[in-house]
Amino acid sequence: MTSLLEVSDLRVTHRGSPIVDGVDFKLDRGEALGLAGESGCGKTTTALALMKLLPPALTQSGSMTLRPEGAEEPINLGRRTEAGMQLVRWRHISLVFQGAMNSLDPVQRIDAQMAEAIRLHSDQKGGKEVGRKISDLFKTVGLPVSAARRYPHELSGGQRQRVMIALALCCDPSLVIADEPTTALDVVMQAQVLQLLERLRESLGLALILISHDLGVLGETCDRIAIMYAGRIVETGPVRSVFDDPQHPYTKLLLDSLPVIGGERGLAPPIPGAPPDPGSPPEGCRFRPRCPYAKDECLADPPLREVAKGQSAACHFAPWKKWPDPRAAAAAGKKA
Amino acid sequence: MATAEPNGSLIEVRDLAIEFSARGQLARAVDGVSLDWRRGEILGVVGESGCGKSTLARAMLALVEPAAGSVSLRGQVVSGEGAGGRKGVSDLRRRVQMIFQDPYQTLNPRQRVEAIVTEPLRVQGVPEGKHDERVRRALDDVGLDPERYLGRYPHQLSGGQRQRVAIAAALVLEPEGLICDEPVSMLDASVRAQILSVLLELQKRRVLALVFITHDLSLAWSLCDRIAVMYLGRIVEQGSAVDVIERPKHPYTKALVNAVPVPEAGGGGRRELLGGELPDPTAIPPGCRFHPRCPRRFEPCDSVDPSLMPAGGRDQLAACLLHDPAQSSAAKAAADA
Amino acid sequence: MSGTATPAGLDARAAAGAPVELADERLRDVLLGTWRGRISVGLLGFFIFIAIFGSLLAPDDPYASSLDVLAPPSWAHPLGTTEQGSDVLSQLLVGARVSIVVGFAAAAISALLGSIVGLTGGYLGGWPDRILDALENWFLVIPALPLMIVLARLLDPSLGVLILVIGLTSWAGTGRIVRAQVLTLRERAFVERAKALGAGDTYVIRTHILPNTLPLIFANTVLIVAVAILSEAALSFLGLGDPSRISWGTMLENAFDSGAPSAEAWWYVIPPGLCITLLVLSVSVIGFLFEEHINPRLRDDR
Repeated sequence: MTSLLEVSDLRVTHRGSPIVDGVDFKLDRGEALGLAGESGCGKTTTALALMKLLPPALTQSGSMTLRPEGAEEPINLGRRTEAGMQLVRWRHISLVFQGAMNSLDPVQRIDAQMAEAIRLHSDQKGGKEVGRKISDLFKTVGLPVSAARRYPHELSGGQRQRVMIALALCCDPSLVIADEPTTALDVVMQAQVLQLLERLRESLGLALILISHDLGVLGETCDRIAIMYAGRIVETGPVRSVFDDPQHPYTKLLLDSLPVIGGERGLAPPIPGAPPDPGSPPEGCRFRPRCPYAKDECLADPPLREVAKGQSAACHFAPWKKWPDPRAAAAAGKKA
Repeated sequence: MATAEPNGSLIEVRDLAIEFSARGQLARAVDGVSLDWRRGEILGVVGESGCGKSTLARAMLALVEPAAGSVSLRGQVVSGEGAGGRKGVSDLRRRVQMIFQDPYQTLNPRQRVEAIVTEPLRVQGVPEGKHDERVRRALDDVGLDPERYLGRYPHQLSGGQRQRVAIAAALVLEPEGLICDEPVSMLDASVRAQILSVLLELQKRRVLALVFITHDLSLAWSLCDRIAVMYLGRIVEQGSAVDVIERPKHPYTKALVNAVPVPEAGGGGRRELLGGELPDPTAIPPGCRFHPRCPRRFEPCDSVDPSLMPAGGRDQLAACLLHDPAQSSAAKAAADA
Repeated sequence: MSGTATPAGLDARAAAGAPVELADERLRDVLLGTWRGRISVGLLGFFIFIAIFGSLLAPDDPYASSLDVLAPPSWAHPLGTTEQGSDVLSQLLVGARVSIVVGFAAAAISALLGSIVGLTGGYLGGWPDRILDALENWFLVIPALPLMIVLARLLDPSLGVLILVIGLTSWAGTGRIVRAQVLTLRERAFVERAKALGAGDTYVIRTHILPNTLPLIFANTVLIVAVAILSEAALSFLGLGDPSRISWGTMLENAFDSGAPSAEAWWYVIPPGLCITLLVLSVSVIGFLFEEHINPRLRDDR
């Protein structure tokens, strides 16, 4: 079985200092992968690097291989030139970027903007053909066809986000990357958009990379999840296993700080400090300065390795059988 | 500080209405809200954006003039019908403070931390000799070392540090109440937990009353004592946090709770979601405001405007005809259908 | 009515170094960090020096006439003589004062007027804002030079009148910019916070509005200095300046009246023209540097 996308040793640097520092992952056809992490951890940069849409000040390296359905040869994204990438973007991979819903032109009707995008990116050129495509796409994302004749400000945030998703689908890609697609939306809208993405995955066999800082959102929508910290993946695996049995202290503490209705009320002890700048990470394990379980071994850089079935963590002490109380552990660590 | 009976109200809102004009029409952002905020209590106000929760918060601080109804501080009307003049408002300004959502907007970029935290003391006319000590204590309380931070400008601080400074500036007057408008919604997970723990610790130590305005139901559930759910300018349900979120009685609250993402694989695919959008506040539906989107509406919902009535748990109220004894038979039928 | 801003916007603002600051990244770095800045500051300093000490440095009495009319540069007259036989270099040195005084004084009046109107309108809102806004629009739309000509004709020409006329006709742009800034500041959370503390309007304006508007007013004023210098030259060239004082504008007027260009007396035309150009250029560059510093968007595009 071959996977749809294989990324290995992806690095992005800004004037020599790393932003994304060696990221590897695989994505199967129709699979949804969640990329989680706090701002500055490199998750958005990773998404842009996959599309080769990084600003010119950033340089990327590493191999990215895409095997879209029906293509005889795998596409080596890493080697593609800008012209070559233009044939890949939208047709094979499309991106719904952060704040996309505010990127619609306010003085053009929705259908005009969609028609332009469809003509640019697909083989469909005729007016009737494009019109039919637009109404099909609107049906797919659950928008009334009448919305096409409106201006962006006449639609709600949730509806505009649906328009952006419709645009991303216009060339039937096999992979959609969605960067914080629901961040600016209210709970109800957020749930509607997430449900839409799930439905599209099922009906179109779409693979999805969902980027969010909200573990709840990822946990609900994704099959697998990768937790990023300071430019690296520190833990990855099936959502269920990672959420039920996290194997990296960062994941563990993040999940503990997430209130789950019906669980335990009140606040778990917060992780002290702030994430480091990936450009000048601390020596050894990058989470060490904030980790209550840190010991001398942590001064050596832990590799990301499989610690349970399908689940990998970059921690010397994984697999963790039992998590000691973080406060007690931190106190003990200080004494030692 | 708090001298009157321990569980008395800090702020009482009665039949409050706040109007604003939108596209030449008068609309009500808050329309007939009554709410008690008790001393030392953490009160959550939840709802979607546009439901009027932030306007309600501003009205509680007398920052907006009510079109009807009143706001009282410890039994004294300070804003609206029967307000007693400047004295009440200045009392309110000393006893209740507010912190805002966006840590990048909330601090004056041209003031140093010292000036920002001293400002409330200066405005309220606290003798200058006490300023330094109180400012340092406030910064200590929020976990910022005064020596390191007094001289900094906001842009030299991270988002979390800015929010700490904003909290210090709110606490330096030693208020009895603190209104927090989405205080952590723009912060990252680990920073968010830090700020919340600072707030909660202060709440316990200083017997501070908190209002938490948020759209994050799980957060409200885990931190608040009581919760009020707002929809289109009205409170549609209120009660203890556990009752309202774990056993919601209003269909809207149920829908909100249903929409919360659950960090469990495939958790959301099968659930029933609220359709439609929040109506325009200039065109409020007749009868129950929620009826056009309500999955459980029945005959009188489009004509009878329900008021809050007892439902479910102790002190739990819901503005829904399903809980009106007079409608009970029809309601039963609708519920069973 | 809770505004939901996206963390995306937040990141962008944090990355752009959002605050409008002149204080921390010191003035010196803004002005002297680039070559064009250094040259402009040097030039402006040079002209200010001339404006102060020009009359002491002048080798001759600039008003004294002689029979040696329109003489080309020589050892006695390094920049030649005028149609009256006066020394061009001496007139140039003395004339700097009028240009610079008018430029700065008129810009100061314009900044003051613009700030008052912009602050009042922006802060109060409602009908005062509508009236002031209409006034601003009127002054923005009306062509400035003809208005200046009319005003200068109606009043007796003197240095004070010149300053007043230029100041009165150039404030509308500042007013507009200040108003826009005040409108956004008024909605900022720190202003709301101060009001929630019970701070009065005077306090809010003094500690929150003004300090965040001043850099903008300042940058804009520097640009107006350039406009005012040009306007003075233009009015003087049209014979509407103060006849009792020499300025670069009156020098050009006299040169053209006496037919210096057709007589190929370049020494009479080029020096005042060049001085006006260089002065306006240096002031404009300084103004643009400030503007660029205040507006991160312009800075990023560089």
